[in-house]
Amino acid sequence: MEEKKRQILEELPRLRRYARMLVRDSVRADDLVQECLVKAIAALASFQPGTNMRAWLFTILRNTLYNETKRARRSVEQSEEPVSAVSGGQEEALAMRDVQRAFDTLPAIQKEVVLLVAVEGMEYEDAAAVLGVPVGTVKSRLSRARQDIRAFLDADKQRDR
Amino acid sequence: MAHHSFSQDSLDVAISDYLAGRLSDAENKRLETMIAENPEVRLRIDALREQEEALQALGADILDEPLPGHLLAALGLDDEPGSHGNEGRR
Repeated sequence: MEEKKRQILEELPRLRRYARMLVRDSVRADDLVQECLVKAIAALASFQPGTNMRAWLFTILRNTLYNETKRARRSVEQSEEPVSAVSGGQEEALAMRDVQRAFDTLPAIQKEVVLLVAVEGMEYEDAAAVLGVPVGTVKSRLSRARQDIRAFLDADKQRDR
Repeated sequence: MAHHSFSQDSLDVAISDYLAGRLSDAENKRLETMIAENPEVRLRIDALREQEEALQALGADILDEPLPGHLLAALGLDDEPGSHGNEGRR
């Protein structure tokens, strides 16, 4: 059991990132991660060692997020905090902020595939399992999300001329 | 774009997979052959690379944050001296 808990500890930063990127309010995001942890620990005996702990935890986290959203009757897209500060050079910071802003405009189902595949680097099959959709749906949503981000950034460039 | 078998959309998907290292060796070779034969594909890759790298970096600063005590406590680890991200603990 201690080994499984150690594995969960290693995944905590990623779980926090996923929750924060969807919920924005850092306190609410961490409360959701805590709820996820409580459920994961309760179900820990049933987790098969050697299987994908990350996908298992993200599935629990995602269910927690959506149950909480229904209870609170608030959209996961509500922005309550400014985006996290970006370090680095001026130009690099601007590019990152632009993509962050573009990400913020995406509908939640597109944010999820971007987070799982592009940010977490999950395989399509694992992302599909977490989201409970076919692999083809993951790919088409991701493709659409990338298009929408590009369109946002292109429109941005036009405005800046 | 002409002279390759991808639609614009599926080319962009292939390029994103290429940039993320998801293609098999065979698929990599096929794409690289296409790049050699179609210079505009190289331009497309350069345009998409910056966006892909920015996406990969989303929320990276959150990963470096010290873990809140209540999360460590939920794992029964808040007294662990070697806990991840210990430095800034409140």
